[in-house]
Amino acid sequence: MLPDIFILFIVLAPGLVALTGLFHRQIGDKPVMFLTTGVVLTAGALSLFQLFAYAAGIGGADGHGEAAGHAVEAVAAHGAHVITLLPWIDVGAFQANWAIRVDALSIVMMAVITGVSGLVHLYSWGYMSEDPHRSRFFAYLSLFTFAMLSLVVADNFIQLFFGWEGVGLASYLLIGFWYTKKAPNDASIKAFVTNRVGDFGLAIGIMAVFFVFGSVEFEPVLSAIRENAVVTPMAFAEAAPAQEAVIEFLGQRVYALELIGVLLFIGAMGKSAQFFLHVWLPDAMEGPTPVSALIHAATMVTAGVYLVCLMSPLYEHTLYAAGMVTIVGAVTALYAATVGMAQNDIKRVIAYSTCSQLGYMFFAAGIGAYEAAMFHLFTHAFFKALLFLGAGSVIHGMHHEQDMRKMGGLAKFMPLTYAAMLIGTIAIIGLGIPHTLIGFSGFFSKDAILESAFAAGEHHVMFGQVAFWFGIVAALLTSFYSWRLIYMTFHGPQASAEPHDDHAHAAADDHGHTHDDHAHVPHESPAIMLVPLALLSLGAVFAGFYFHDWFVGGKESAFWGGAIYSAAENHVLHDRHNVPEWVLWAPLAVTLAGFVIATLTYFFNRGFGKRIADSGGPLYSLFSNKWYFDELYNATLIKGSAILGNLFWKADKKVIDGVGPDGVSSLTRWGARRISAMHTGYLYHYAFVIIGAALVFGAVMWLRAGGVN
Amino acid sequence: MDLGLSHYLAVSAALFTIGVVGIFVNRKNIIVILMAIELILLSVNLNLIAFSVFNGDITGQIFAMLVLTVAAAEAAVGLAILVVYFRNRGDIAVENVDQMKG
Repeated sequence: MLPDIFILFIVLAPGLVALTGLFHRQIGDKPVMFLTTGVVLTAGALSLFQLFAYAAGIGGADGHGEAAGHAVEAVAAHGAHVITLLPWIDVGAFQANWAIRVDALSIVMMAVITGVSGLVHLYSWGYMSEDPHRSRFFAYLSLFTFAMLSLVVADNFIQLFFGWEGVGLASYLLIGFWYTKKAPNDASIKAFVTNRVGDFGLAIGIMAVFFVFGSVEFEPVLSAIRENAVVTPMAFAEAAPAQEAVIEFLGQRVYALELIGVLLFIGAMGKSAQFFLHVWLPDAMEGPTPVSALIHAATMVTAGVYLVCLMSPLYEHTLYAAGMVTIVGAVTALYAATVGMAQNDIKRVIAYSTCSQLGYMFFAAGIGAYEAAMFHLFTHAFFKALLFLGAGSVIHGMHHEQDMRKMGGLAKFMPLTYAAMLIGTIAIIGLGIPHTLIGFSGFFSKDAILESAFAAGEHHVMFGQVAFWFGIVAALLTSFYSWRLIYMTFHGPQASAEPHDDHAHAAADDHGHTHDDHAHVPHESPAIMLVPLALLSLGAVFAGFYFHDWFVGGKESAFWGGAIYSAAENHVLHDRHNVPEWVLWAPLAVTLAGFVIATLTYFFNRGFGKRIADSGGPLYSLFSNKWYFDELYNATLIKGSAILGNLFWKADKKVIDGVGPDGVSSLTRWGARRISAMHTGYLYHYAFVIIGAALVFGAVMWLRAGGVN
Repeated sequence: MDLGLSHYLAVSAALFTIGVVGIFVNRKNIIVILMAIELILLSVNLNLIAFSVFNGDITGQIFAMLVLTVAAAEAAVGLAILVVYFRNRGDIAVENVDQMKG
């Protein structure tokens, strides 16, 4: 592990440089871009060095530096290295500090976040070169990096929540970056609102944690679960061991751990775009492509996976919460893959692919293979960022055209982008040969997940069997849609000579493009965009091969230290080596099958896919309309809340205001008008009142004095 | 015929009633209203003096002098208001004097 000062730099510096964006008027665009890019790249280099040094320290004996060895011991002994920065909240038992907690999970996440973020910063120099708001863009990117880092180094739930909301904010700002257009604004609001649903679950989950354990710091909570310590939930007389504690929720008595697990997972579902809360992710593609690569593929959306892995002691000791993680992940993996097959927007295909791969990570975590989930998170960050940046390169080269039906034959215009996309595709479909160490990074992580799922299914882990089969089918579909993307974009006849429909024009005008010098021909991207592609390609090819021994192989328990906890009866990661032979070959077989189908339908017989689409069969309609989720939510949730809101609004207006303030005021006005009518203005009326009153007064006096007698 | 207290009181009551009725019945002229008020005050004066004489107590007659003074002042102020009002609005018909209507 690095000295504290470097860790502080990695976490805090991106936040500081993000502030320079506020002063871009004074200091200009270029200094902001230099500062943010330079700092984040430096942080990325440091984090990657930290990861390699840490891994090397595990590998141990071959003299990789004493410091690394020491750090490993520190982590192994204490679970995590904590730097407390500032006390934040200190109210009775409710204590939260600003702190940096570095364990194996954080080390991996820091490397992923700052590594990808640095490359995306660099890439944006090219991609956003013509945007008038470049400095704002770079400031947002750095802000995101800071928020995400503070999430993964949190040592308590409150700081985690801070980072969680921070990345949500940055995501919102960046999706709606081109704020003059309607679609990005709508998409950013959709993302924010959908995330609110998940965050609500997360917030209640954190409250439940405090309710049960009386603390919001990870260390006491997780060790209480691990050691099954006796806890006393508030407002409950009886103390119970943590794993059997029961609390009341919504009038039901439920196991505390199951409840917390489900609630935290709802938060993870929102952030990681899992089934039911996935609707925002494809729309988020309205943001600039570097954002899609960084936030909506490599880092932010994996926060949910990170949370579940961080909470591994919790999910190890739950049955239904873990089962929910598994089944939601498996369904998402399959669902998103089916939708991905029928999309025509190049970024949306990759977005659904992201959704699907996140599903893999979740069901891996759900069945107890947290290490495999983190491994897939790690490799996925490389090849998915690569695919997105490659797609960005294509979009850039096509002058902001995203519709794959208008592309084709781009391989000869942009060979380097083509090579990068090819590497990304081979990595995501997980091509590799079982029993050997030959394979792209996706091979190592995805096969680890599928084998674990099969092994879990054999041992009757809830939904293990389902997850395995869904994963296999999703792998087939993944291969199909990934190759479909390649063929539609890079092969076949060249796209129509005039790619400038209205959409392209609108987008181009908004970016202040001048097209005269491009001469309307697709072109290769500048070197500053190709360098990140090249570096990510390296990761996509070698990350799996290089790291699999530490993440899921022989050194995994030493590597993860106390960061990931497996219950005594959880041998999934070990059992995966004892699965039948066909399980090893099945992913390869379906991957090749997907490749063959895609090649037949989109390479040799190019019109085939279009004919299916045009015939508009029910299955195609279902997939291309995303299983009508948007329509369903529109008809039920959105219309429903509109009706409900209308009802309450009217009830408030008519009943509460009507009886309350409005009623009183109108009654007063009505009464005043009646009474004021007595002021006729005629003198004789006043005189009459005066005399009448005098008479009455006199009569009263007279009667009181005794009357006639 | 001997004039008793009741005769004075009867005249006074008649005057008072004429004054009150004069205020209500008159719909045309503010001056008539002022005159009716004078009548009411006079009837009260008559009462005061009559009781004063028959009771042999001078206080009532002194009080009558006070009432006369007030009535004179009232008439002066009332007429002055009327003159100013007429100058401003060009009309003192009772129906039209309703600026204070609510």
